[in-house]
Amino acid sequence: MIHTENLTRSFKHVVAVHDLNLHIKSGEVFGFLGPNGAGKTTTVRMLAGLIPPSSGRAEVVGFSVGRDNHKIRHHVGVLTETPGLYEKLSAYLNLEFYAKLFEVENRDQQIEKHLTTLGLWDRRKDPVGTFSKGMRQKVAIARALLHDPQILFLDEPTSGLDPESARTVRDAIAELAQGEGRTIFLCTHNLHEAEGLCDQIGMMKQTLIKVGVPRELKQELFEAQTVVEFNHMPADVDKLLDFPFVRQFRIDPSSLTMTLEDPALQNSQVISRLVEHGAEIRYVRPEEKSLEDVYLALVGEDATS
Amino acid sequence: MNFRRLRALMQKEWREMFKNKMVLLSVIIAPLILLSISVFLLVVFNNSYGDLFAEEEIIAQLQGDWAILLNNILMFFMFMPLVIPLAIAVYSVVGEKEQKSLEPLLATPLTDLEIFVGKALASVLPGLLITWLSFGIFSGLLIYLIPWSFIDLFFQPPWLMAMFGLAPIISIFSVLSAMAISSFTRDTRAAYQLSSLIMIPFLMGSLYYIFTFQGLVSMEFVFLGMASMGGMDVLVLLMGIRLFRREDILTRWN
Ligand SMILES: Nc1ncnc2c1ncn2[C@@H]1O[C@H](COP(=O)(O)OP(=O)(O)OP(=O)(O)O)[C@@H](O)[C@H]1O
Ligand SMILES: [Mg+2]
Repeated sequence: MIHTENLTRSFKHVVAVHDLNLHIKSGEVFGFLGPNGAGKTTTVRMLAGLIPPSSGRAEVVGFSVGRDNHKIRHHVGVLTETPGLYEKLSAYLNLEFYAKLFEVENRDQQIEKHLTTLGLWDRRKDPVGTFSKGMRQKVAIARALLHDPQILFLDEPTSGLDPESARTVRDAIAELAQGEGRTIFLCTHNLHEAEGLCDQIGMMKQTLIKVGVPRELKQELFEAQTVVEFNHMPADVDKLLDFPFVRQFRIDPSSLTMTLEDPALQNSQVISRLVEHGAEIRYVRPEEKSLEDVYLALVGEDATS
Repeated sequence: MNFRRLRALMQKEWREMFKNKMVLLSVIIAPLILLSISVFLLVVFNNSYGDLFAEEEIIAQLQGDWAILLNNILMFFMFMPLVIPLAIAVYSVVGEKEQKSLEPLLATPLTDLEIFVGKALASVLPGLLITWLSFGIFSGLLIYLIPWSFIDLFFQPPWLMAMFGLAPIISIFSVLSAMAISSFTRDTRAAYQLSSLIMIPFLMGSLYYIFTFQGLVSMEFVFLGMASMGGMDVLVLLMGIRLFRREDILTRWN
């Protein structure tokens, strides 16, 4: 669906995207993560046929980026960073305009279908200027879907929304990701969002730093840890942990966090010994690393925006 | 060029225009004022020279003033295609910027040329239509203002040529200039004021003619106007096409 080869785009003084190599399969939900200025929007603009690359090549829905931009635009939908709706026109007229531009066949049904799905059918005649941010974002999502694009680019779909609206928008995306085998390219700052929605995640900072499925990414970057929570912790726990396979541990007032060579095999040995020495264990669980940790580890300090 | 997309874009521009009081007002007010002044001048002139249209000899004697009056009215009519589409053209560019609606628009199958032509036509056409409509109304009023035998004074070939040949050329110049100027600014008022400056050379040229030659506008003069304004049209057209490139719209416009 999307293949890029050393895709590069520079502006006067900055190289926004450098040697980007991406391969995204049909039907995949790809999360594109990166700090401010990482080049996410620039990448979307290139892949959606809005601006040509400075060098490198890319293929989107079988067309060559740069040369076939006009054809690409027929087959992809873009939710831009800002909804960019016509404020004085109604939701319906906004969508009708775009349906005409894409020469959508059964225009009225398509508009009704998407506005109904997103819960805005009753408000279709109101000017978009009277809508809340979340509602506008939904109208913009409907707009990007009218022509049934093979690829949907979503550039930070939930940024600037309150948690409630963000959730409804996220649910809408999850639903899109479920059915119809549409490829979704999701730019986001929100790691939780990416983790929940995406099959694959790419970390970006000018170029691709890392790609992988969310779980693998975490495993690869952080050794799995085991957390043991105690009702009663035996004395001298540190002495009990002198197994050769214990790499690291940390003792907190009522818990123990340890890194083992192969936790699946070795957890039980450690737990047995702890129990033998009088431990009352409340809970044993793997430590969940958030993607955020991975992200911060990869892109460094300036990702804290 | 895909005409369905072009029409969709023009229709969108007009829908927005009808929802925008400022644009709508300036589209209506300019022709209203110019039309009223024309009628007023005709009436005042007629009253102060006695019944101007009663005797041919009087007209002959008043050749100079008479020509000034007629030329003035013609100038007003040529002002309409210059002024009316200005607000529409400015809004068609600045409005998109203000609403940040350019990027989604650029993500559609619309070509650069379709966007440029669609927006230009959406401004030029109403400008011309209202100009001609005003001329129609004016012609209708003439029946009540002057005797039949003098009416054809207003329908001489130079007048008709100006109305249907020169006016479109003027309108295109006005619209393309306004669009080009608006592409450089985000501020509606600034864009509007800057665009209004294009009227100055036009105004000075017309006044110079009216008070220097003191003869009725000739066909040659109308052709001269068409040729010179046509040349300007080509210039602003080339500039506009350069400015309205997808990539530049996204990366250079502010
Ligand atoms: N039109 C432009 N002219 C000059 N520089 C630009 C232009 N567009 C983007 N850039 C630069 O390219 C880099 C990448 O910008 P881009 O908007 O792609 O980042 P982003 O990852 O989308 O950031 P954000 O998370 O803030 O949206 C930035 O340094 C930016 O300043
Ligand atoms: Mg961005």
